[in-house]
Amino acid sequence: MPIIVNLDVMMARRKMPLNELSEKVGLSLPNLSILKTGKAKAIRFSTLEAVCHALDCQPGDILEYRNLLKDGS
Amino acid sequence: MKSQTRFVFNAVHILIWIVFIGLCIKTGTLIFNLILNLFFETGISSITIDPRRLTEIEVDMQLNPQSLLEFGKGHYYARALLILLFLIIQTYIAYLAVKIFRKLRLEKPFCGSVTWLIKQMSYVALGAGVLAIAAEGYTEWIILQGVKLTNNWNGGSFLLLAGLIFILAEVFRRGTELQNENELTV
Repeated sequence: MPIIVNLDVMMARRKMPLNELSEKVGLSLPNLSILKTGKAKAIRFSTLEAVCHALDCQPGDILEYRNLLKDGS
Repeated sequence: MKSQTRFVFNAVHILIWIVFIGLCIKTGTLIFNLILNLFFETGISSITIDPRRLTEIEVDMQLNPQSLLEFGKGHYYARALLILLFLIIQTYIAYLAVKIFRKLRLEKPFCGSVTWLIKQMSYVALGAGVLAIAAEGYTEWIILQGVKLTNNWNGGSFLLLAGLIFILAEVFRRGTELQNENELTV
C-alpha cells in the first residue's frame, strides 16, 4: 500500500513506549500494534486526532504517501 | 430477537442432520440393493417375478425393474447407477450443509472457510443439475423405446439452486471482505 505509517518513528522521537501511547490514546495494544505495523486498512479521524494529541504532532508526521511505482523505477 | 434467531438456527441445524442421515441411509440401501442384484441373480429374478417384492427404494426411485430388465439388463444398471450417483451428490450437498452449520458462528458469521464451503456447494449442485438433465434425456429415450417409466429428475430446479447458492457465496465473500476491513480499522 502506498500509504506508509510512521508511527514508530514518531514514538521513537518522542521516546514514548507503546504501553504509554495505548493508555493516552485509549486504544488497545493489539489495535495499536496493527496501526504501527501498517496492517491497518483504515483509521478513524478520532483515533488520528488522539494519536496526534498524544504525540504532539501533525497527521502528516504519522502518515506518508509514497509512490511505490515511481520509487521502484 | 437474538434468542429466537438462535432457536431457528439450532432447529435448522438439527433438520439438516436428519436430512443428511436420511440420505445416507437411502444411499446405503440402494448400494446394498445394487450389489445384491449384481452378484445374486436370484435377487433380480425374484424382483422381476413379483412386483410386491420391490424394495421401497426402488419404488421410490421408479426403478421399475420388471419392464426395464425386460428391455435390457445394461440399461437397468446404467439407470440405477445414475440414480445412485445423483443420490451420492445429494448426500454430499447435505454433508456440506452440515459442515457449514458446524462452522457458522452467529456472532461472527462471515469467514473464509464458510464462503469456500458455500461456493463448493454451488458447484456440486451445478453438477447434480447437469447429471439430472443428462439422466432425464436418457430416461426419455428409454420411455420412447416403450418401457413404462416415470421421468422426474428435476434437473432445472437443481440448476436454479446452484445459481442461488453461488449468489449467496458471492454475498458471503463480500461480507467476509467487509468484516476483515472492519476488524482492521483502528
